[in-house]
Amino acid sequence: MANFQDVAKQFTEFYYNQFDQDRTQLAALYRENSMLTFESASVAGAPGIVEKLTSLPFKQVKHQVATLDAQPSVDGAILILVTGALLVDEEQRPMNYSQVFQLRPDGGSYYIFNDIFKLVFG
Amino acid sequence: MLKRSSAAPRGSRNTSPSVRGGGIQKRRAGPARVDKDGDLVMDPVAAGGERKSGRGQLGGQKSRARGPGRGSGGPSRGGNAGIIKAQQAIIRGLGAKQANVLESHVTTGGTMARVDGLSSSKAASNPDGGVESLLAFLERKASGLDAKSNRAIKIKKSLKKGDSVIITASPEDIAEIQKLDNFMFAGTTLTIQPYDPSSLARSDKSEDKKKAQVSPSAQETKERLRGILATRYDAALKLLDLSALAQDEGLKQMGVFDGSTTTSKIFPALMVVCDGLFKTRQEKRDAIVSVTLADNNLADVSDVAALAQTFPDLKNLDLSRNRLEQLSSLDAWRSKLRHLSNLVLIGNPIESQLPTIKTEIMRRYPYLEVLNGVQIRTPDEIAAAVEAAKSPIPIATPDFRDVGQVGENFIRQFVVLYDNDRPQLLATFYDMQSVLSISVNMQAPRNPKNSVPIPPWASYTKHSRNLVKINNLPTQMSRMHRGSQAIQSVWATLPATRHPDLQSQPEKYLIECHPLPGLADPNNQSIRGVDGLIVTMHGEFEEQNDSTEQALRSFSRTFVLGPGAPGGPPIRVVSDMMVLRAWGPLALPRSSPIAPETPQGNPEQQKQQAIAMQLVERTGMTPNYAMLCLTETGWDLEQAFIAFTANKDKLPPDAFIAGATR
Repeated sequence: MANFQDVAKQFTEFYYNQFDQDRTQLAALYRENSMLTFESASVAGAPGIVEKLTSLPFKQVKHQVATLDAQPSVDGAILILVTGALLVDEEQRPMNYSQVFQLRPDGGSYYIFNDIFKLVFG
Repeated sequence: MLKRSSAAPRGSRNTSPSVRGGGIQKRRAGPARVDKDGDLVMDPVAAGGERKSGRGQLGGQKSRARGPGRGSGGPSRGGNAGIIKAQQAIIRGLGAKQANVLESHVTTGGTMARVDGLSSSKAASNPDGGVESLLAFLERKASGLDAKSNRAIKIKKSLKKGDSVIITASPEDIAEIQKLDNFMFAGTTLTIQPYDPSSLARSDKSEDKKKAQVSPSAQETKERLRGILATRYDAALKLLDLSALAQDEGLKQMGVFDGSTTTSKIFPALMVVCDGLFKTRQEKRDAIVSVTLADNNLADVSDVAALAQTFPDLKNLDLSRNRLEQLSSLDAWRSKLRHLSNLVLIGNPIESQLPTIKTEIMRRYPYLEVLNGVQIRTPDEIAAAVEAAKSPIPIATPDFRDVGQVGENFIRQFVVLYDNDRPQLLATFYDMQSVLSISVNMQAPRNPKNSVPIPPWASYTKHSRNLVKINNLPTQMSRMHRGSQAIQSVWATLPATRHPDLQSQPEKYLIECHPLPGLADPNNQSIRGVDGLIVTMHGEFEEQNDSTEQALRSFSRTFVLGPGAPGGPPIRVVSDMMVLRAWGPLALPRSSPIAPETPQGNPEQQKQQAIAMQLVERTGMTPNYAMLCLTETGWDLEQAFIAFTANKDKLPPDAFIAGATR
């Protein structure tokens, strides 16, 4: 199996592509015990998480990943910290964000166990 | 709520106000206006428009006046008699609302005192705890003191609070009673101090509301203060003039200064009266744009701290001719009054420091446009900053869900130790398995306004493990540091830092904390792992270097905390990931731009955590499950325990803390 750095890179690439194209399709990455904390609002479980992501007040969105770091965690889990810029709708000014994922292995692939998103301005 | 547009008369319009000495207005009772909900209506707009003629719109949204200052040393007090009359009428009109809340706790300094010592007296064994005999003693002794007038001292109210007895009486009587300080009573020495009504109002609101009766003297005091405020309010300028309070004849006559010139007692009382005049924050914004506190002999603003609570959206503030020496003299308002647009500090020792502290002042007051009459930002710049603060995604206050204060304690120690003693930090929280990595984000977008010079990244780039850039596996691995020793060797090469003080500058941090189940158990007792915390922290630090320039950086740092292995720290850092970027201020939460939440979380959360920990102790459930269980039972510990007992056999194994006895 690929090393955890590669998993982290592939995952973030896939995640943000999917998010930017059609975030309603992200459900497959979460499970019942997943937890999303988006701007300090916490939602548990894939259906609730996708509902939350879908209801965010923007249509067009583009993530630009600036940094990505990953550390191996317990039982094959991977801790990922991403920072980057977010461009939303007509907004010209990119916003700094920081996002932490904890991925857990599940039958040959990974799912998102924790997802903590926060805007941090610069 | 609908308000009647035609204001009913308040007081008799055609008679001149009855004047008590020193221009203090006595309020006449007029018919109170009631809205359709039955609430009394306070309507400064209508009141002002009705009373004034040709002096500008009181209710206008835009302030005509720049308020205090413009370099001229602040506005002068006063106005012509007609205007004053109008203002008095306005305030009287406002007063018609009869703020019920106020009734219960407005008294000024001088009508209450706190008596200590009863609990250690012989009288404490009386059926009533000795209160009755204490009161009788005080009345008798105090009456005796005033031998000339032979006046009977009367205590109107008493309230036992813990070991103290709070007594209420007329200002004259309280003054007499205070002379009994250090008198012997039933074998003990009594301590009698003035009692601050505003602290009573804040800390014991509900209790106070229930128990306190409005004494005629409290009502009288409130009327007097309202009258004094009336003479000091300029409706046209929307200016409340609180300058030179110690010289105010009206206040002097009320005896609130006790011979000294302190504003500490009277100011909170004035603010409570102001609060009572307005129903909403919007009404305050509409009525009062500027305040002057000039000539109050203030060495710092702690005596007048209440201003920020009462008028959080104040635009113009004049502090001329006080004794403010340094920026910390304003700390009682730290992270408050953030909407200030014009600040006047003329005639204070702090003036000489303005060149060096200007930046910090601008940071404290993001909308500040004019400082001591000098423009420091253009309206365009402020508009840009306001625009920057708007985000398509609402910025929320941090979500800090700690377990047993582990996260909070960690953060508090981390910030201090990282700056001062990194080896000690490692010994306290890191062990052989802790992992550290650092990345540098050099392309983080910055608002052009914040384009302070970026200090060189050299010390960090050689450690940067940004996987977007670093593709070589050996390099990737070599920049992940496992174990205290490896981490120390990295930290030793990083520049010394100074993080803002967490306690006094919470606005410089955004810290979140969440329980994290299923970490590896270092004691190998549980296959499923044990609970930990994931802490995300965003903030800034100042780098200590040889250059004279201030070197600021912003960071985002994520920690995973878990229980330590035997022989090691009890709580350990499992993972520590840091990303650095060019400095920029944090986004302010949109919901409460005034007071960013401190990392401790709100009191409600703290209470819930405490309850959850009790349930954890009783049941052996994990904090997560305990919270779940409590959420479903309305945070009633007993109900939760019953629910737990009924269902514990159905709970999955991971609902329990490993090794806990059930």
